[in-house]
Amino acid sequence: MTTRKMVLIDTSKCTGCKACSVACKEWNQLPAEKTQLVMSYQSQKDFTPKTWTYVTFTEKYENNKMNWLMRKAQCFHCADPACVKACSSNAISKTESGYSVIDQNKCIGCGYCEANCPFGVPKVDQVKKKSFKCEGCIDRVENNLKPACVKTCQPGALEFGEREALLTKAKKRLAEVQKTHPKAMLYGLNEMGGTTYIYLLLDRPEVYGLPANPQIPASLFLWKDVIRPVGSVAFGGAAAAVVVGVLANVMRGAYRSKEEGETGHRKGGES
Amino acid sequence: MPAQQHPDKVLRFTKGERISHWVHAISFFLLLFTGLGILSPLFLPVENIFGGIQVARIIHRIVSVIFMGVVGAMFFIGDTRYHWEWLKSVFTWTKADVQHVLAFPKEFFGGHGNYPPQDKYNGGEKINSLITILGSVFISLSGIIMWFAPSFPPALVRWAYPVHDLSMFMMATALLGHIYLALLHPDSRASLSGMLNGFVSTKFARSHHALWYDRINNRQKGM
Amino acid sequence: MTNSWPDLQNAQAFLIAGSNCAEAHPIAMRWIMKAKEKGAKIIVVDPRFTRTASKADLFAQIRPGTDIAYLGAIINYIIEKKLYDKDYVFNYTNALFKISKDYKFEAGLFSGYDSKTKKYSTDSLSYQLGPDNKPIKTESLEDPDSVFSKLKEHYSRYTFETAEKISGIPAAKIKEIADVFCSAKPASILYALGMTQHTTGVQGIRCYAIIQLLLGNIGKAGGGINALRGEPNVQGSTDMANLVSNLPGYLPVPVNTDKDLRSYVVRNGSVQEKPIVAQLKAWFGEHATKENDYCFNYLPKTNPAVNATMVRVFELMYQGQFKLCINFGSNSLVSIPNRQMVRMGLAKLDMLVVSDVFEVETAQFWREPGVKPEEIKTEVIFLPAAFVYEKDGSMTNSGRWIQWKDAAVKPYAETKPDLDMLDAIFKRVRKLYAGSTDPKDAPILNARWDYGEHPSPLKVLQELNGYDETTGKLLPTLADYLKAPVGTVSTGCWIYAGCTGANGNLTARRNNADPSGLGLYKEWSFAWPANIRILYNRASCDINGQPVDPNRKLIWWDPVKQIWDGNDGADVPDKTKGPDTQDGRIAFRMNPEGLGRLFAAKYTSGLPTTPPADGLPPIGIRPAGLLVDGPMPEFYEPIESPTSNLLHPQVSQSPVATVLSAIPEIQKHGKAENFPYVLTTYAVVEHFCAGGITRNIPWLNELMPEPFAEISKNLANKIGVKDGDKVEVFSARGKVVVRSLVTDRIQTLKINGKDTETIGMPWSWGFAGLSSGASTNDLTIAALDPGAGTPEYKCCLVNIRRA
Repeated sequence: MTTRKMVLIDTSKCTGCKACSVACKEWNQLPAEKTQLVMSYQSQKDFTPKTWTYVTFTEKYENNKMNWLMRKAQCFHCADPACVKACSSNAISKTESGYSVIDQNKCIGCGYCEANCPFGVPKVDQVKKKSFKCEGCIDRVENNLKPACVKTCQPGALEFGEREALLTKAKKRLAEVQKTHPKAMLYGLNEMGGTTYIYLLLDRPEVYGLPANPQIPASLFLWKDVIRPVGSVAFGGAAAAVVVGVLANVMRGAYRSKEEGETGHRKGGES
Repeated sequence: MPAQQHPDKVLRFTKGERISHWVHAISFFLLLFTGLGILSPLFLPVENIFGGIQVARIIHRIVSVIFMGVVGAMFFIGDTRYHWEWLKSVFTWTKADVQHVLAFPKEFFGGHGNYPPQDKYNGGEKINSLITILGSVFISLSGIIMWFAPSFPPALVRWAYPVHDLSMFMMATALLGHIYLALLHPDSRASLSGMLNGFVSTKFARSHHALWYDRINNRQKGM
Repeated sequence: MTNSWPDLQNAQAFLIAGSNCAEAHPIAMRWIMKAKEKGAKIIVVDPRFTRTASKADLFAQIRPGTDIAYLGAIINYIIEKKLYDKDYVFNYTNALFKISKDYKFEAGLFSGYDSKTKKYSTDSLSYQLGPDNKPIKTESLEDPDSVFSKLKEHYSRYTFETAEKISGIPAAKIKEIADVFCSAKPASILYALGMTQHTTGVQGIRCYAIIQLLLGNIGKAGGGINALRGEPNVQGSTDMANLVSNLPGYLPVPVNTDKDLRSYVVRNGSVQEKPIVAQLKAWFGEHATKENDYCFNYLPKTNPAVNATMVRVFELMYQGQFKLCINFGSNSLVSIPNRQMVRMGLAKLDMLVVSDVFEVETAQFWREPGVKPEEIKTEVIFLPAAFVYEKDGSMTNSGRWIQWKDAAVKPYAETKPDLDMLDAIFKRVRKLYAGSTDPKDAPILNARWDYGEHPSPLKVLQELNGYDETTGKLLPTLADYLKAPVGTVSTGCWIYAGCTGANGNLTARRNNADPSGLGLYKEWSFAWPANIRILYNRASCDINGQPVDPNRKLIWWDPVKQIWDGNDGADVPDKTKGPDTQDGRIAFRMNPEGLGRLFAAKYTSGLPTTPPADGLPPIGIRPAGLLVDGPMPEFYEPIESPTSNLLHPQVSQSPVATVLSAIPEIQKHGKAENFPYVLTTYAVVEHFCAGGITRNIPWLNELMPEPFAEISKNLANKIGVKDGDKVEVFSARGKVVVRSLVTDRIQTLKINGKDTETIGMPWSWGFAGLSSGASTNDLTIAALDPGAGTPEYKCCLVNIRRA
């Protein structure tokens, strides 16, 4: 029985060295991209098919005190992921260990995951026609190795482990951090059904550019849970009606008396 | 139109109307089938007809331009009058239209419903037209948003998907009935020729669209 | 480092000032964050709010180059509030020694200053000596002649308010820093180039030594002064004499007055006789005999007046001093201040040989934009070097751990390890001299140089470890070297003795057991000297040899076994001499007094009271290390400063600083009227030093694609730029155009009542490589610390405008 895993991203310990970015690119053999500083020391604006993790830098200066908030961004691996629900091709699946992984053989690059992820994580490579995102180094994890980013992190901002044990630790750490940062919180504890990557944030999620209350978009529910089934039933019903209509006409022998039908005094049909 | 060239027939659809119809019909079919693979992986094998899902997606985009562009353009170039008349008529509902709609289910299964004489488009046809018009508009707008997703707000893109699917389901469902009535329904399939060569028999016109027939007859007499 | 990387986890407080370790030593943060998790407080003092500062409990923005002002105020506070560790100060420092009656400090100058030579005579900067030639010790700290009283008097001028006016750090914040740091035991100080790259660099670090001695933090787990060294092996390169005044193992380099071994020993003390002879034996083997002075005359002698430190070398090069320059693993054209001097200097050479992993800027100086290759006659040869993972060998980290590594992969294509290249060059040169009887060629012909047909790095390490020259066997331990008679042992670097001896290659050990829980890891590699992990750890015990901190026991005197035992190797002169003996009380055996020096006095231990009968000069045991710029740190403004010295305007800058001026057309100085802003330069975590390697790694270029100038929002408004706009930054020496990074992380400072702006620029870019950009060292000034020769990269004056 596979147990649920977890990665704790303790932003109170992140020093913004970006080694996680390099480790990710190295392990996943992702090429470098041309960048320009976005703001502060942040070099990547967003995820791309070739950038699955990057560090955000937010400078918040208030009351003569600087808070330089750094956050390693990557796929959250939601318990209840919008991407899986949105996927047109059953290419994204959840593992028992808690990861959302894309089967590149199945992916057709429709981009539904990209549009519906509340965090904007998956990105479609428009040349390869495939969607890419952090896979949580599932290949490493399944072979009892830590994810590459966790392995390389020196200040101890990233920790990998069994979910239950690590959650307990995270809560303890939060209590400690809240002494100096009263707004500190665990993000991902309940969000999206409880994510596999959980943050200890020093400030409100919006400050880090994260949605305060991430959810599977209502449009996605309407689409997949209402329109799709109702539409299918309606279409099926119409098809059945046509079959019944044809049978009814056959049984009445209406096709044989076509001429009659046309000449007979009828008021109308529809075409 | 010189209906007197065919004494036993009346011109139901002009060439322009027929072009619009068939461009719309064929492009819709292509769009439907090239889009199926993305609706569900179950339909992926269908896309092999087109050369695989990625080719199908390209065809889908190319055809969508025809779908939107050609039919849209027909309202403005060439013989535009009948397009606008059609548009006007489907949004103009009379008591006779409603009565036709109420009688329609019985009619559909080969029975005989009672309803007053109908104009050029009966109530059922108007519903089909409305579904087609609204469906086309929404499927086009949502399609444009999906195609150029990065240029639109993410929330709008997310809403485009259900709208696109809903429009598709409505149009596809209506299409089933439409095809049945045009090809398989013993009474109404006589109208098919109107969309093929433009003319229907006088008898058909009189019996199914009496108001229209009387009006064009009077107009000719008046001339 | 007095301590080690893992030892940082034992600290209760950190003063990180002059180090941006989160960026320059990211792995340090592993241990610092462990300490923080256990409740340690982090204090960061820096001209900018850095990535390190983002993890600090207390941050203070300082005007570059004014560290001594606030550190002096902290020393004053420690003394005034009696926050010092009295026992420690009494037992392990020279606080009670009496200073010469001739000593004076007046109007910014210590006694003995010669305004013509701009040098200090150190005669008055000394102790009062007794008839036994030993310093006279008083009983009371209050004695007006005592070192402690001199210290107290000297720093009484440094109030928090004065320090605020100089440094820009609010007085209340300096007090807070002092309170947090002084109330934590143990507390550690971390520094790097932010502290050294000043004309007062050495004195800044002296402040740290004084503070840590007063607080009793030296020699203790979680304490110490920790110099975070540059690249993974920069400690090793320093051990191997990359400093101009050293031979390997920090032996003084012979100077032009050292006619023979005896005069060398007279100058440097008898304590240096064995190591220099052992070194000569290592280099010249059986050719080095007592009769020929162990080939002492084979050694080149330097002229101390020239003091040809790194930067000065390029000035000399411009003056035509050199025909050939061999440049290994240094990208001087990017890294040297006022780097025009480098370009002009290189062009004067007949031949330049550059060995590096990539074709760095220095190797292609002749094709820098704006340079005309046809006018350059220098022949340039590039030797492609193997990368660090492609070669065997040892690297010595900041904690003095000599760590052996094996090559992970074979060298790429035709690249070669440095050793292979040097070995090939040497052997070819020796062949050219074969058969020569000219005495000047003897050193080349007689060099032992026996690293094998294909040179073996292990053989080099073994040479450093040393041999018993009578048996040819490797020395098992440092103690074996110490007790052997002079001339019977060889070591290439005596502090490395025992690292790979009869007990095997200890540097290759990888046992990470840590039974004490103090992060000593005694069986992981080998720390010099003698595998001692925390230097001066005798000071972690009270005078009776028992640990002061029950939670952090390093060593102790075991009265039963009659030996210094412990978790760490004891840093004592003799492990069998207990606290009841003179040797057993010495915590600082490398100082002639055996004590920590609050006042860096001139002193040589063991000088005979009567001159030698043979009429030759007397030989002492160990002379003290001397500072050329005074026995106690004094605040001086940087050479280019926006203001004048508040303490003594008539001596505003360091009176002994070396300001290079042989090439006046490029060695210009700016005044605050024209260049009102203070530039400070630094590295970012994504790029290493001059970027020769990192700027050729696309993944790193992606993370830090370009150089920039960090400016405050006030300055941005003033010059009308928005974040990301191009700006031109210019000094008296040059100009560069980069993008601006407008940030709240730099604030306008109030200096002596006047608003003062700091501009921060990373310096790691040059015109070559996959990521090219402006070189900040076009702006910086070639003003040097008078002792160390380190240039003042951290402050010069510039102006800025929208580009």
